[in-house]
Amino acid sequence: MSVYGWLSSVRLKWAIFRSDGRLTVIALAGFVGLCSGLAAVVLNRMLHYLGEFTHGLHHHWWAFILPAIGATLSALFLNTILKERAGHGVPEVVYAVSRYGGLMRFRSSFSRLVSSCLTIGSGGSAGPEAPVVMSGAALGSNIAKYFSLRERQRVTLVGCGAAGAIGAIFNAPITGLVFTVEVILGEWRAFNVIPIAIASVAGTELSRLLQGNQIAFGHQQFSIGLLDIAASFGIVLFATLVSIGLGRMLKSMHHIAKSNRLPHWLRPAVGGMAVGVIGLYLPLVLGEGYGAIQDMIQGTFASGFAIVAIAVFAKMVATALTLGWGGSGGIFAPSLMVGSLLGVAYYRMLIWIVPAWTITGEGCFALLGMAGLVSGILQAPLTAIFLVVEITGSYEVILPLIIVSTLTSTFCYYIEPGSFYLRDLIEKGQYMRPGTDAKVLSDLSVRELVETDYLAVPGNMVLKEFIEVIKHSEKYLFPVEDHLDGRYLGMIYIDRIRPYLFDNQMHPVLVTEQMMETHVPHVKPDDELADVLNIMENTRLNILPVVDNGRFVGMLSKSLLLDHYRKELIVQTGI
Amino acid sequence: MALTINEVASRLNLPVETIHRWVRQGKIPMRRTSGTYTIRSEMLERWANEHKLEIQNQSDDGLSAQAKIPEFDSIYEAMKRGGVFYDLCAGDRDAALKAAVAHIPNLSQDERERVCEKLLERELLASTGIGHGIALPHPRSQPDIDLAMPQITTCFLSNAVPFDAVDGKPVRVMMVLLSHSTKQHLTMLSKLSFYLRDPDFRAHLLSQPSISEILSRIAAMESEGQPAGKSE
Amino acid sequence: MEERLLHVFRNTPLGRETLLQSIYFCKTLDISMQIYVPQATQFLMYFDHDAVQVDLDSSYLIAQDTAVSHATSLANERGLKPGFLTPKNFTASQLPDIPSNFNYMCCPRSISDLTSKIGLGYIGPKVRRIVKSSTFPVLLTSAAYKEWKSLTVFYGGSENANRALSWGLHLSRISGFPLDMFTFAEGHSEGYIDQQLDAAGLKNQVQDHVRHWFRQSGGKIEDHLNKVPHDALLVVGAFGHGLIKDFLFGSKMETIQTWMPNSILLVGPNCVFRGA
Repeated sequence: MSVYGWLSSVRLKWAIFRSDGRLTVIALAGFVGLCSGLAAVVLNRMLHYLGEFTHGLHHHWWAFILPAIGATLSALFLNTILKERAGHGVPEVVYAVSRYGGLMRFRSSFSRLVSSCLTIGSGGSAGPEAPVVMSGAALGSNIAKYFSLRERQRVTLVGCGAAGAIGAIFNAPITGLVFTVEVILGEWRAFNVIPIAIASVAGTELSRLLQGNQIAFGHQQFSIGLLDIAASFGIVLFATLVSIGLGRMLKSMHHIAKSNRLPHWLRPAVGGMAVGVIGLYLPLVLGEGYGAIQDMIQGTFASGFAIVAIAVFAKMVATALTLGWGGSGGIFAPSLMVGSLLGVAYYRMLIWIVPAWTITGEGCFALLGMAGLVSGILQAPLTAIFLVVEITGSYEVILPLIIVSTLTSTFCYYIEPGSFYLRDLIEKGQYMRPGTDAKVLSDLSVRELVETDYLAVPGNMVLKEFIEVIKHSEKYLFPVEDHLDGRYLGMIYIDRIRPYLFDNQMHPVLVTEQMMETHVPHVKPDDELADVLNIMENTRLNILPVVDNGRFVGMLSKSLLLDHYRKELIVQTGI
Repeated sequence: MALTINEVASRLNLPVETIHRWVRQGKIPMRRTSGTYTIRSEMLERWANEHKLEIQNQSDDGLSAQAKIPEFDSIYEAMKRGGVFYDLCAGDRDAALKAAVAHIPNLSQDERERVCEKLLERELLASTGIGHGIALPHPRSQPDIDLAMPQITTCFLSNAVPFDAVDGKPVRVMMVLLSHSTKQHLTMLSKLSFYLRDPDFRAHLLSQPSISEILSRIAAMESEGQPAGKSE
Repeated sequence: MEERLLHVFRNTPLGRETLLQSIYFCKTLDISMQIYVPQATQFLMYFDHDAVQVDLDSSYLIAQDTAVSHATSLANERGLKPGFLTPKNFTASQLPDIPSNFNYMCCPRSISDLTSKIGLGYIGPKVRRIVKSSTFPVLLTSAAYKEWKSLTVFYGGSENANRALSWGLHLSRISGFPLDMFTFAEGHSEGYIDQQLDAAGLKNQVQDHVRHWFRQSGGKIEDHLNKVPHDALLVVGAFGHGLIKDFLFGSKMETIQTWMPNSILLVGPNCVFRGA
């Protein structure tokens, strides 16, 4: 091998190295993880202080007004000061990832932190996870923008932000990784899993450094027997019912809030006030509820069966009121809370019915209930499993855990296809995971696929002349345009005008306008390809004219579409 | 060698817009240098192999064989290439065809045999005698012959030969059409049969004119305008 | 495919002037027009590398019910058939996504702040970001409608200026209006401009096509701006340098837009020239 050959191979390797963004992304991933971890810690601290501050006020009779003030302030902050339209956070991230390659506004990186802090800190029943995920994702997106990365790397960094945030808030790195892959990205590939794992660890480490290695919910050891596994099937049943109930409740509350005539800024106050009133009798439901969850896992939760059972329902209502009426926050923590309440209630019911059963502690059932709700509402069974495994720090509970998670998410899927996060996106047709039909179709556009080498004929051309055109063309379709202003009029299908073609009598008599078909559906350059394919399916046409602003542009054929579809799919799912 | 987006698009046989989008989405590793995106051709090849995409080299192998077939030029040129031969002696149709094939220029011995076979095969299917003493023998499918351009060989028979023609008249003139591609063949056949619809021209042919007379007549007819331009 | 211009319409007298300017631009250059009548006070534009949220002031929502008919009648009077854009995707229910695959966009000098601020010397932050991230040139209109009869390209020799010049040449060919060129040798030798033109392969085109070449040097650029015809569309490359360089030396574009009342076509750093 000559020196030159060796040199050129080195150069090629160097070019490959330079063109490959993987190392850049890995390097940036750590940074993004730290940033989003910091965001999580900041929110956590703020909630902590605000919680301590308001705790002193909750015994006053007027305390019920607090959540109303908090929710109103948070809505004002989001909608009037930052002019960012509200949303739960996670759906927005998924939307940005699936449609715009993870492009997010910079203001999203802090807006939800402040607003959710106001909502939750004042007693609103919502979770801090979704806001933190949104902040982390927006930070990742903007860091990617700053380094002018491309969409694919940007999406990875968005995932890094989400992972770092979840990792930091639960002190559980694997949960961060799994949540991101399962809920945010929906794609498990080497080029994004590695950076996300790094970010998750970085976020978690930062949180440990700043808050100490205290897990959100302390470690617990359980010994699991056969009876526990049998009992876990019961949890599946209840978790499914409660998940569906909570989802429906949130949705209907949202509709009620939307359909009334109250001014926008007053709506969160209504919800907040109602939560405040519930909170007067059951202070348990206020806030994100980490403290109560902690107690339940440790088995030191004091209230009796009846209170717990009522609390399950009250927490659901409070969450629906807070979020449905425009408070800012997520659904993750409330579902953990509802889940653990459910688990405790179920355990106490079992003990009450069969006191002789030797089943493991209350905490275990609280965890199983949490797993059930998370996998039911978020339809993220893996996240649920890993969260509980990381909380308990051991694999003892894994068997009932898997049973509860997988079965609950499966049952919920039968009743409500699509998780709480993604339901709206699915309804709007914006739920696109990489490598799926919807994603490929949305990436391709009519503009890319239109074939413009079709010759348009004027509407006043006689058949005799038209036959000449046919002779010198290879096409069997001819668009007809108005001979004066060039408007598109219709299509001529050679195979449909055969009788005239061979009738010499008709040659000087017929004009193109008389032979054309005016009812051929046409598409616009901005139409979605999914709709175009639907039209093709319904009309059984394989090729449609593309018309822009009244002018003929070209034809769109199914065969070319399939050709490009395949290439797009290859490139999209490739390395 | 660095390739621009347009070059990449043509090599991958994709629209430029798609490549632009892929660059934006980071699906293809193109680098931005002084305002334009480029990629080295080795990199493109490597990338395309990874993704199992076809690459066309910039030479026009991709422009399949079809593009190489030249347009049919004119009857005049084809007749000039095929030549005109007088006083062929033959007792029957097969002998006449064999005699004609023996005269056709630009063919090797092998090709002559194949052409003859094909012509006879075609006659068995249906006679190529178009009436008025004229026949247009041609093979049913294009024999494997090495002809760059189609040609028409005109043969005058010394005595009329029965040919099962449409009008039953024996044939005095045979015009053998040979070409390499079906498209050229059909164009040539349709043009020639159009000219032969003219009774004057038929009479002229039957009078066994000299080579120069036939060619000048054809040239005159072709310069009058495209035969397709007229309508019957 | 036809070229398209995006116009965000506001149904006020100022909005009318802007629309008339857009209509004139479209008519002259044979471009079709897409009008967006805002239904909410903000919209999002997703560009290749940036998501820009534009917060409109409330004057964009004035007299919404007559906006479409008003815009249509203004355009029809001048023989243009506008298309109206209805957003398909929403980032949030009140936050529509406006596509960014246009060939031009028309902006007032400020799109988000109050009308009172609009005047010379002020480009709103959102317009800045649109120019920075868009793949199309942005038309900044003059406050009152004025037809332009020629084009003037400001050329400084940078990468972006080359692109602006290409657009200028392209537009002048389409419109049939003459093209002038304004160069200001600032801190460079006299030959610098010619070298840069040569390097960009534009020299021949400039020699063939440019009517007047205002070669200026000495003093400040403001001293020479009177040379530019009053009825010219200015074509200027914008934000070609980094932030620091702009900060230290000031941007030529900013000076020009501060001093010139003409309509300006800003060619941003991400513009893709796909003309002939």
